[in-house]
Amino acid sequence: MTAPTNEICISVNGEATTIASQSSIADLAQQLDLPLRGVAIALNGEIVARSAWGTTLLESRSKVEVVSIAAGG
Amino acid sequence: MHNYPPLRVSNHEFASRLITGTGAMTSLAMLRASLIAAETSMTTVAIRRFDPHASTGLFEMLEELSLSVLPNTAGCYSAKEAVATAKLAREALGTDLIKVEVIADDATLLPDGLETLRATAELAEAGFCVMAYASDDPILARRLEQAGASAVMPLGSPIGSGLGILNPYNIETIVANAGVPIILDAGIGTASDAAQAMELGCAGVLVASCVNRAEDPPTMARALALAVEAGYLAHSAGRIPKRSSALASSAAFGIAELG
Repeated sequence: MTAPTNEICISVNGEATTIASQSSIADLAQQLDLPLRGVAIALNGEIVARSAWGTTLLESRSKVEVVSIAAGG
Repeated sequence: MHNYPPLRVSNHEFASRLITGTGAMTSLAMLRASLIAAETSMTTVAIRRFDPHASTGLFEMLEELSLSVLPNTAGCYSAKEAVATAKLAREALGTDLIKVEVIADDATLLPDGLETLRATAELAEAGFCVMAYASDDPILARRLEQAGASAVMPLGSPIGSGLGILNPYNIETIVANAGVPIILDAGIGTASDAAQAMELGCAGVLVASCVNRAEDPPTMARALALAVEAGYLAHSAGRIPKRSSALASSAAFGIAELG
């Protein structure tokens, strides 16, 4: 996927997604309409605390994993 | 109200000694009815990629029922995966509770003792309240406790098998030597299995398939809740020893001479 110059291409849970460049994880959370509680995010394999979402910027080809609870175990 | 004191795991306290899992549930409505019928205080959930519909619905329902959530590391095959999953769970749910579950393979679904021990040590060191799912090996149970587990959860028999407690002697030995709560996990097929676990001295029982795959899940949940209470009381009461011969319960004197 090629993105316009003001957008970057990232991966969210294994799916290619575009987002405005200079976006933070908080911006992505808004774009994905994530709930306020019950989710956690890892960026390139490292957990990003919710308190740091606003200051953690995404880069082209960032790999984001968004997890929550599911029935099981 | 339960006919026993609360279950204490580290600094956590749970009114119910029956932990009912969400695995194998057929619908949110049925799960909700079963959780209520079980009068449970805690349910266990897996950590998976966010699904806007499934994740939110389950999360909101557990909040509505005011249940403690015990996240697990189901789906992990190594200590490394389990540690990463536990940290994601802590971030998502704001809890230090984690059920460490490291499975060796898909065919047996048996826990990998070595990887479980590694994950337990690392997570306990990182401040987690680790409840470690393990085989029914008394020595492994001791090693898990020494590694910092706050509770050890030996299996009765393989996950989903419903075979009950295959080695009650091992469970009894684990309980006798433990300084942390022993919670029987996996293999419970029906109420009598849960009662037996408690009679053997377990501090609690965790079930999932037993309830969620029963023909009438809420009724099975209720049966298990009663069985856990009955088993606890029976254990507290101190059963009679088993004997190889009869022992009269009526006095041998004062018998009337008739004919």
